Amino acid sequence: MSTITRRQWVAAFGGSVALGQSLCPCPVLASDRMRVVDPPAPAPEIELTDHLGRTRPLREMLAGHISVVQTMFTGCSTVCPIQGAVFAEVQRRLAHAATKQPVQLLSISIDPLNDSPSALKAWLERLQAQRHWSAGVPKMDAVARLQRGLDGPSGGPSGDPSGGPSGGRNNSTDGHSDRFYFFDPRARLVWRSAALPGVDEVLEVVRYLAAASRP
Amino acid sequence: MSRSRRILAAAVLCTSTAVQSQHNEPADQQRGELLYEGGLPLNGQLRGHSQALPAAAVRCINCHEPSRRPVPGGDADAALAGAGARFAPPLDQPSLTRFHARRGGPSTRYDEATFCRAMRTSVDPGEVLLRKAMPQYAVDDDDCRALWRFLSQRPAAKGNPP
Repeated sequence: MSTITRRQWVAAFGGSVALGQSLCPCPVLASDRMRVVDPPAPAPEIELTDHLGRTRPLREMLAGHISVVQTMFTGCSTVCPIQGAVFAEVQRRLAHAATKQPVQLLSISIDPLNDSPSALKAWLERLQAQRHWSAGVPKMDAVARLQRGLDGPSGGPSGDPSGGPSGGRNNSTDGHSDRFYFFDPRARLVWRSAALPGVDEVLEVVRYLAAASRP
Repeated sequence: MSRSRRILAAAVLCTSTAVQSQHNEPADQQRGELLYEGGLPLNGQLRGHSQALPAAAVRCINCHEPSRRPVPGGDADAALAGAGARFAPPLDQPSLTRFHARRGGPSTRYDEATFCRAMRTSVDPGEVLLRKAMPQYAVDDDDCRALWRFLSQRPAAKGNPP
């Protein structure tokens, strides 16, 4: 990656947005493990109550950052611990990464009945989340809008040829996705990962977006 | 050593090994149960990932036992109806050792070798890739045998045909 210039990054980003991933110089982004959202989609118009009890529009929470978003719920024992572990490792590696744009991680619960701010806070503490990793939960009637906003009306293409819950929410018994979603500083969804992306893949997209989003 | 003595020694050795194996089986099953439930840690990582996952995230029981379902789309009734759903197939004697089609592949059943291969490489007996959420485990032969002995003799899980 050190051999790629900023101009190449930006050119590749513009090209990939316009033409899919064909011009992207990086192997992860050129693969089907990450899919560009074209055109970028505004974040769902919902409010979240975060782990500190503050209620704010999701768009406001995302604005000004490169954001990596996952859906989860604290009572989930299946993929959520794995998703949490991946976020924890992303956090650890981001601490050593130099990015011009601030980067944040956001875990959004899809279980408003059970996930209070204190439950979210405890979940974050178990995963040793630092200040750039927060969690929030929408109101009950906003969960479906959130999922549609992240995955699209059809739930999106499956990213895991081996089947199972991966790559979309529709075939998961938990009813939630195991993808990660990437937002630019204008709170627009610009990339979706396939199922359970690796830390290197996530970091590659973050660096890519940080380079592309420079003022 | 005369031929008859050699035969006698071999017979004693075989008997002793068989007895030892039988004696180890309950201990293996007990160890297998602990490994399954997370009382003993397993090491695993997702296919294509470079870092190991915490032991708590890769417990078999996390996905192979019924789990609570959240509130899909904010529908509390749906959540109650979904309670008890499994994220991954049950692991018990009928589901592992009887022939049936898995993941759209041919009709197959597991034995110890194919079970251990699936744990390590994510490939099932029908040569079909397991879903990505199933970790690949760095499990040694002893632990894998223990798990197999426990699971392959486990009665049908609740809700699964006996």
